[in-house]
Amino acid sequence: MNSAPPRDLKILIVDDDPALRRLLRALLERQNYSVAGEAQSGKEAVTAAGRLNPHIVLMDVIMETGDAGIRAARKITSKYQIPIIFITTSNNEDIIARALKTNPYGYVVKPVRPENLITAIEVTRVRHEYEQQLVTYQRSLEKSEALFRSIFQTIQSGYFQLTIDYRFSLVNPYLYDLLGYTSQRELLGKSIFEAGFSDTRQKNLFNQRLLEKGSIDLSEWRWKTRDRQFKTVLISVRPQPVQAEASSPQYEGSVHDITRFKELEADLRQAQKMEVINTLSSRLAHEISNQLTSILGYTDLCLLKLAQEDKLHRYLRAIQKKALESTEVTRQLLNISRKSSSEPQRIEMDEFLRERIQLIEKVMGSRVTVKSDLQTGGVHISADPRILEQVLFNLVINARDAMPEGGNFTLRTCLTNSSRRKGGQSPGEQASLLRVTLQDTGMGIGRQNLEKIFEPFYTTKTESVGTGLGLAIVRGSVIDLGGRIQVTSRPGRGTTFTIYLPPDQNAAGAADW
Amino acid sequence: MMERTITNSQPPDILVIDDDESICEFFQDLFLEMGLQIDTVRSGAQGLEMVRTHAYNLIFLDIMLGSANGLDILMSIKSGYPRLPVIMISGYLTEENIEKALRLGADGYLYKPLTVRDILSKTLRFIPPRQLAHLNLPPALKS
Repeated sequence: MNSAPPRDLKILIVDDDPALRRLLRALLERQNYSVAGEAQSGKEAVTAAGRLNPHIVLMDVIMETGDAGIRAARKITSKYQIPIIFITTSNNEDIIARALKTNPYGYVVKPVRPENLITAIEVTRVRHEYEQQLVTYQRSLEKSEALFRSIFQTIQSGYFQLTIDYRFSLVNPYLYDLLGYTSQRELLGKSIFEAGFSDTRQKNLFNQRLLEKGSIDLSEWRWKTRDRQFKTVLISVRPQPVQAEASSPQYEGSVHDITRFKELEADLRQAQKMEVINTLSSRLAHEISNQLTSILGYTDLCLLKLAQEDKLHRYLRAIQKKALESTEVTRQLLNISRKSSSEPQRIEMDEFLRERIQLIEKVMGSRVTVKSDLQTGGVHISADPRILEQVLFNLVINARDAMPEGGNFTLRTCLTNSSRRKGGQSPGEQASLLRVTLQDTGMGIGRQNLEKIFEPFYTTKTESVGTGLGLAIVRGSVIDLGGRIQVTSRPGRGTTFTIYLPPDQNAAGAADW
Repeated sequence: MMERTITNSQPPDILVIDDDESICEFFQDLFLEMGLQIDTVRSGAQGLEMVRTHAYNLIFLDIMLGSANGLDILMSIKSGYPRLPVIMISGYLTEENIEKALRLGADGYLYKPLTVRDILSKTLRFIPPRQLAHLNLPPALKS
């Protein structure tokens, strides 16, 4: 036995009998174990275990004070997680039962036979190593679980699991929030056709694809939330890989809300379209302007050479009149695309509008009632008053023309947060904007036409009334002022133009300094 | 590319620099009627060459000369011949461009579409008085 290889184990010996301690030490050392130290009482044992940090404690169950060994073992186990091997002469069943409750690694009966002790020590070593591994494994599991929980809870994408009949069995906060619910519980058990899709054709398509392929590749769908908002979402669905039981969820999938991107994309497309149109318009205007110079010039020349009473004079004047009208169109066209060289002033919007109410009433005529609700007293914007006036009266005249039978025209101002759409922006973007609303109760504009009304040459009016440039100019001017304009309309009910403008940030009193 | 309308042996009075053919033609016809000598060219480079070799009374200069900037041509003319009158023409003439042209020494400007009245009122100011008497002005403009 002397030839046993050195063992990398430190052992603490606890016994109140010095003779037994010596015996144990000799026995261990002969087997090449190292003795970390000795203790002769329970109290001493706990202190030594903390100080010496042994791999194993050999603990006498019965020491001078009865069951001091059991109490010390309990402390060492809970405090330092060091394995205990009891050494005892006791065959008292009560004591054995209590000793076992401390979950010892071994139990060696006196007189100690070396092979029993070594077996107990080696079993303890293996078991303890295994348990340490288990603890490490469990910790990493916990860590991993926490990581995935954190991802699940905080990711800005939706995750869901569905039962075979498309009912939600798991949804993350992002998803229930997207669908307008306040907790997972509210959504669980609801079908994806109840809480997500609203369009029957989309429901059928989704169902059909899932049945045919068993999965759905990332694709675009339209959802309607609980608060009746439409969302454009990218959804992918696949079979749920962990099929532990028959009742396990059948599918899992992810949802990305791209509503905001789609809106931005539409804005961009519109902006690019407008840019092309503007470029084309100004080139066209330039070209026509050159032609008109010749037409007008030669007409002029003829007029100057012909006697006033000549019959052709009237004909030439007719040509001249039409040519001059055309020059007005080209001038307006150039106005859309040219960068205005405006002279901005600080304008208090409410005051500006109030001063023009009478004029608006005159323009509207007696059959239209003009109302106003101005709520932004003291708020200024920076703008050229001539341009602002042009914007205002372009819209006023449109409203009048939309109400040939009369109606109401309402002018409102208020301050609003710039959050054009819900979500998707940082708090820094929440600056206040001045909102001017011009609402009429006229004939309204159909959905298809609504998209086009800001384009040049788009008009619903007859040729003699409009050139189709008014709203294009209005839009250009509003954008020049750093703002934006929106329109909503319901045929037969009326149209509302909403203009957002950034307030002049200089404090009202700043000019006094 | 230079086109000249010769009615007699008089030296040319006016140069028009404009890349638009119809504009040049109209100027030619108009000034021919008036009895004024006129050269027209389509590019700034040709214009500068003509200015260097002829003694004009007045230049009409398009501010949008195809690829070239009329303001650059104006600057070149004014640096060599500061007292030669130049009238700018453009349909694109914004306030900013007018301002720049005037700061560079332009003597006036015309918006397209041009009218006979506008052109003549700008022109007559720069025609020497003894020549004015011989001009064939339309009756309506005589006053």
